[in-house]
Amino acid sequence: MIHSLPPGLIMVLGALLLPFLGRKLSAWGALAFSLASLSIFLTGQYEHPVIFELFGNQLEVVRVDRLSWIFCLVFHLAAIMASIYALHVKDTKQHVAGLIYAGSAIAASCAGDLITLFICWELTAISSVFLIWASNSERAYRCGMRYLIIQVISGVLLLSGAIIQFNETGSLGFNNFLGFEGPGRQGSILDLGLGPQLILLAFGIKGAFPFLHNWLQDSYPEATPTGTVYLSAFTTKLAIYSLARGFAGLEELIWIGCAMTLFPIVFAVIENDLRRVLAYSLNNQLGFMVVGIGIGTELALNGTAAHAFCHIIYKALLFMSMGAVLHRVGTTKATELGGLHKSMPLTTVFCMIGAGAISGFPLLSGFISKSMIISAAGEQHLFVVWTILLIASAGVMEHSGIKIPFFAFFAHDSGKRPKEAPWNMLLAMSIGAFLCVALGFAYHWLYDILPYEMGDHPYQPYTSGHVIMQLQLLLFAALAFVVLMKSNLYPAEIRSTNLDTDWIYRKLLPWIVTGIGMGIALIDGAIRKMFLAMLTRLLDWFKQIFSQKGALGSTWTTSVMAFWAAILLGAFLVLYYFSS
Amino acid sequence: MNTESNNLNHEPSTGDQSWFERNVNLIIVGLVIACVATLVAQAICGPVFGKPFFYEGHEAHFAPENWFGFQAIFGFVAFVTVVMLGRLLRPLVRREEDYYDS
Repeated sequence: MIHSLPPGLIMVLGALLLPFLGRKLSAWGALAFSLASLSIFLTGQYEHPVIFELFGNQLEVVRVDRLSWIFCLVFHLAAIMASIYALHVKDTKQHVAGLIYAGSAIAASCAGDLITLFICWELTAISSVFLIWASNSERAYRCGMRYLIIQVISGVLLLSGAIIQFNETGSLGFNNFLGFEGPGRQGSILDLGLGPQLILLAFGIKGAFPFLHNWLQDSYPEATPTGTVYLSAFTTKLAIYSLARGFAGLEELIWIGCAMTLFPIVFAVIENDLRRVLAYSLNNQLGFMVVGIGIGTELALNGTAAHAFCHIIYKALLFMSMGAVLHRVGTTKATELGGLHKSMPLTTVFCMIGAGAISGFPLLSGFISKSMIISAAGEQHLFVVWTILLIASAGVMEHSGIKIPFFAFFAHDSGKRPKEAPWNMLLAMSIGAFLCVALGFAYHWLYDILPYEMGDHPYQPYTSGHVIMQLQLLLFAALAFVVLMKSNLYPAEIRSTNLDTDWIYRKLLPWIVTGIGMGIALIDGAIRKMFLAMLTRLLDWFKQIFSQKGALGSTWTTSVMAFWAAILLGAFLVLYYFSS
Repeated sequence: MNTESNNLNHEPSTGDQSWFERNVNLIIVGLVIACVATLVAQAICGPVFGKPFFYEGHEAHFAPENWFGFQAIFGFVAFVTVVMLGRLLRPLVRREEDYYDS
């Protein structure tokens, strides 16, 4: 019985019980429900989809295949890490929001139809915004509103697309919209109907496609230290899962993904807030996955799933380390930090493991997953794509591999000596760090659960060539950093706001709206003024002619009246004569 | 605005230098040795597995993959390019910290 419920549902329902546990126990409750959900999920048999009838339509509420399974698993792991990381938080609202958010993301990754997906999609949006608002500042409130509006737009697009798709095909099923049964085929965006195009746009917003991306860099740095750990794991990876499910083999995704890997790394170089640097880095990592989905071969899709799995863990680890700094120091601005390794040695080590993993150092998790996507590009002979992914790999080394740990924990000594992170944060980080190392060694375990079974010729990450080439790339990139620092060419950390596409809706649109408003007010004022002037002139004229000297106001003599009466009678006579 | 914080050799303000701060040069030397080691490894690996600079188990898809030190130069140049693009981008997008609040 319990196994026919959507995975994650117990977390959503359990979250509603948390307020009754009190401020201290609610954090433990969130952890308990996450663990319970994981154990139910792991013991569940999901061979048959769970069908639910609604208005004569069959909704496939639970469909767990290999693609869903791996995302479900890593979502559970992320939820558990995040809830351990948040054990010290006494704010029940955050635990409720985090648990509903994680649970609905898990349920969404098991949705077999578009309506179930939409419901979970919106639930993730509405629950997660509370993690931003929990920062309790005017800035966070405004940021949360922007975040919510954009997420809800994504949901509305998804629903519109689903309705159009239903009207055109009679099906609400959530499958490959290009009609591909398996991997290895390619199609274009022009092959899609209007419904799937809208759905692609909805996924693109959540997946932070170029120009649709900026909600991510805007909102994640504004959430609470623990809230950002939750946020980093679910929304964007749910989009990646959905793209892999619905649009695998969509050629345009290759180029969208390439753009995503490139532009954030340049922004990350000059960003001062290290949590925002991580948000740019997250965007860049999503690019690798989107490229994999676009290529659409077995290796590429396996690479995407593997990379999402590893990425969720090391990205959570990096956000946890920066969250620990924020918790202890009160800021993650590079200009305010430095030298923290002296008093936060464990956090430093965990951060460096995360940084090594995301950069793709051999024996850490990023190496065994990212290389699959790059190899997939190679196998399809996509030379330009392959080159771009290599540039992006060097870029990852820059912003996440070096910049994050270096400016937070080393660089110039800020003189700050904060205490080491609380025990629960250290525990959560150590789990993340352990998984990063374990996946780097025991990669077979991850490869066994990827969407497509590899058979007798599994992908080999640790060939001597691959290891040496990757080390050359990373170590010489690190050498470049040293050279740039020594020659003072590396851009200094500066307190600043860097414009990105959010400028369009935070400045340009308000300007345009204000401009239009002012224009309307101006024209309106001019028209009123003109009308008033005309009215005044008319009144003046009336006044004049009705005045004692005016034509209608003055006293007329009898002879004048008799003269005009004669004229009138004469005119009447003439008229009468002609009319008869 | 004196907020630059970039100098590797900056003296710590409190005087309690850690191992890392005392041994910056040692770390850099170690990095250089590691870089050279990867090149040496490539030079050795190639002949061992038959063809020059062609590795065991690795099927090169593009010619540059077999060039000696290709990824080393690529990594160095790509890193410098990304940072320099950042330097170019900064004047375009940089605003005061309270730009959106004011």
